Amino acid sequence: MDGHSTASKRTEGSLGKDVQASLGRLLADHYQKIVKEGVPDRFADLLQRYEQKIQGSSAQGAAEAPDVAKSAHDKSTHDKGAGNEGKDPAE
Amino acid sequence: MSLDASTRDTVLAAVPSLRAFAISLCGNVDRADDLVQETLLRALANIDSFQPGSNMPAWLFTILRNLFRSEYRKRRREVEDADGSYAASLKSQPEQTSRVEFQEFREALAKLPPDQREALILVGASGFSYEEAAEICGCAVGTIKSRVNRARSRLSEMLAIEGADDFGPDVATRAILANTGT
Repeated sequence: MDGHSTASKRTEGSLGKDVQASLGRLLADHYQKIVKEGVPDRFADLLQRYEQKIQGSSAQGAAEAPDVAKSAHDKSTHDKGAGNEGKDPAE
Repeated sequence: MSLDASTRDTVLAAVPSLRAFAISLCGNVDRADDLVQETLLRALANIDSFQPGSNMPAWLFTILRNLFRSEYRKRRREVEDADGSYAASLKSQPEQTSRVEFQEFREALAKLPPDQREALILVGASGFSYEEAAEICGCAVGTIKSRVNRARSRLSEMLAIEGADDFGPDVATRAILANTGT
């Protein structure tokens, strides 16, 4: 590590590249540990119910996503408001 | 646009990363999972406005980020992870023997200002470019770069990191190694 001592010293407003790399590794560890947990059943179920709702209502010519949303929302243990910030970002 | 198999698979594939992002933002697994669920519901409700071929993960991250910001404003007075459930649920990586322990890093990350934390996670862990992160956060690319730099500096300060040696064996271990001549 001696060869890194100079490079790792912080200068004004900047970090040594080895320090940045090490922070990046810790961050990646933190992130990947969660990613590796995969997709919890609740989310796969949510999409499956949405698909079934779409298929079931397609004959009527209207998808009723709000019903799925309401059902899933009711299962949530937390009370959440629907802020405007969650609006479609593509708008 | 109905939810075809391809779109469904793309959405599902993004869930693990959405959770990691949400947990990093919330510091609480239950709240994060609720946030992901809200994100998916919002996305499904607006799936017709998604442009096929464009960046679905970025679109979903944008929705999640906006929902979090909305919730954050409402809960600003709450202490994140007040009951310590998130911290307690996480264990140090067994392979990590560095002075900067995994838990210590997570705690420091949670103390970053939200705008810095989200920028660092988007660019440093989620794999988005600075440009994509800027679009997700609705700000300039230069702002994202600045936030990432400040986040890194702040982390190194909180963790008292001055050099790469701080990521190696802890002080006691180094002393033992030195005494044994290894």
